[in-house]
Amino acid sequence: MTRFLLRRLALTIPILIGVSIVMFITIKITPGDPVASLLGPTGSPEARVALTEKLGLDRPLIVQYAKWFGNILQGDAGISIARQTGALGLVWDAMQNTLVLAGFAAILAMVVGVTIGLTAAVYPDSVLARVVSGFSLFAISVPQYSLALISIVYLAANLGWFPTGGMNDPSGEGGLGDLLHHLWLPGIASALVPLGIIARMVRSAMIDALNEDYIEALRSRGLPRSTVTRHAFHNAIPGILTIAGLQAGYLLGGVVFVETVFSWPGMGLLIFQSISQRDLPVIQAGVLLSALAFVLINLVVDTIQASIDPRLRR
Amino acid sequence: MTVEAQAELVIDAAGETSDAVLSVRDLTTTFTAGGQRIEALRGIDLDLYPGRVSVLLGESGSGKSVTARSILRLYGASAIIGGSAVFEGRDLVGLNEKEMQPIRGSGIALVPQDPTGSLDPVRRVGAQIVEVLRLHGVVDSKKEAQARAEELLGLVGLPDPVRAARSFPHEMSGGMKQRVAIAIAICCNPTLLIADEPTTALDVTVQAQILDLFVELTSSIGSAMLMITHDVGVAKDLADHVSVMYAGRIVEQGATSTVLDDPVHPYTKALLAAVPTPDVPRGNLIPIIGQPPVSGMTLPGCSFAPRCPVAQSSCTELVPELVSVELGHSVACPVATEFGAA
Repeated sequence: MTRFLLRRLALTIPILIGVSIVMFITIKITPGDPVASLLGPTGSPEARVALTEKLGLDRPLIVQYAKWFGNILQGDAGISIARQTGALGLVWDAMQNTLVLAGFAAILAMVVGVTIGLTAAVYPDSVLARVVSGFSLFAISVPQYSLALISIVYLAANLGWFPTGGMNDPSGEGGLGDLLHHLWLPGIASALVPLGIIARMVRSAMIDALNEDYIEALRSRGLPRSTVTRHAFHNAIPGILTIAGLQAGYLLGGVVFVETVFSWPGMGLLIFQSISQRDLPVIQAGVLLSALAFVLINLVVDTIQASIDPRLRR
Repeated sequence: MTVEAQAELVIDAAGETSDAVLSVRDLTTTFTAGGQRIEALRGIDLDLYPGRVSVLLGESGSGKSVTARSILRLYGASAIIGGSAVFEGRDLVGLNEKEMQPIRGSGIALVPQDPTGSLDPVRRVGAQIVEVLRLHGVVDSKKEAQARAEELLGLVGLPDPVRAARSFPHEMSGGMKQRVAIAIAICCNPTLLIADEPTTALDVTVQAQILDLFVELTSSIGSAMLMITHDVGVAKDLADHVSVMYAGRIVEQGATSTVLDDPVHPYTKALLAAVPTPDVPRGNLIPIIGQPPVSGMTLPGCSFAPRCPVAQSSCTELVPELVSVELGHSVACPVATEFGAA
């Protein structure tokens, strides 16, 4: 198990280097000029040349990458062009806020998704199973932002049950209650798609597990239905975790829409703003940190899987 | 065969069921799927006695496994089961799922065909035995269950029972897994042990060992055994009593020596003629012409008539009944029995 963990940890390093290279090239080949956005339309040609040199943008791409990579290894992600503060600090603060939202959404999606998926698999002919299948299809199909906007208009603005955005009430004393109050709408809006996907995955994984040969063997030994279902679920967990882990990873990057709509001060909002401002250091640090989080989540998932299914410990 | 066993067969033929652990009468199983009805079993009569090995012999699709699963009531609502199967005074056909659960594993145990498919892949082998022991209340404590599980693993011939108990199924060979499946099946001293082609998925070299183990265990715990096989050799070696199945019916049944050495039904004869033995050169094997009826197709009269060398026009009119031809030997073929074609 220790060897398994060490090898998986070592594997994350080339993955992160690969992500950083792809990201670096993508940012360079997309149109838009950080110098122009910094100086504005009135900047003189001399000022442009000077700033380009100062930012190191006149050097070859590989030199720029090597310099950036060297700095990252020393924990320096550069200075935000637009905000003139350390990019890493900005990204770190935003990441924590995103983790709160994505974590809340992930737990919601897992708990509700697994529950309704299990129900649909164990009682396939029940009315509940049909309602559940319909609901999960709805959850997957409805675009996040449309639901987010509708909920803001009706539940927040018209009815006033929830705040329209932000993470804390600026006039209130804050605290967990206040945070939860702000979390419900963006949390549910983010959770719906992964919830639907998890519910459908759980359902099909459980149906597969219940059709395995050993299920009949277990029944032939006199085990009651509930125990047989527990055996099947135990076998279905690794498959369910793979999907849940991927969904949790997507949540980290995928809450961009929801954060923007609900002005949640997280990674999505920060990267969205940084892209429109061509704030390269922040984009780079943000993407790298998101990739790191994604890889770590999958590492955790793989570790749990290996502890559940002995056949995966290799 | 002993004199006592012969005497029991006499009782068997007379329809006496007093000392049988399981008495099956006119068992029918019909599957309904998408408006289609498939008659998998069309009236099975079977009596199983303690300490005796009975073999259900037949080709794939003849209904051998369906018989076992129908007795254990492992099918859901898609199967309609008729007739009766009286086990220790209770008709299993009339019981519901809750009433069947304590009987399965404890009264009647099943050893499935594929050992890989009979064990939960993510649970340790020992824990799977402990689970059944605790479920049926055979042991008082978890510790006792653990000790008993290891004892059972030793009993079925695993060299290092303590290590075996801690292993996962994928760490074992097919033969070892089948030994574990047998250990689980006998752990509650069942009155009836059903083995569904227990050696089909194993290497030839392991098959004989597993079969020996079955015979040894059946006699030592004194349970009745129903062995399902398509292998005439297995039936010859192990069985006290053989029932030959064709298309959901038993066509011939009786003591192994009479049925396999002196067959009367044309299907049994054809089946034996198609099996290689040391005395018959391979080139002299005679295949059975044609195919068994497709499941779901109901033929009027005898199902074997279209392939039968001695069939007459009357064969396609009436379903032949099992008729006693001698003590403890019955045959469902009016043509063969009337003309004494044996």
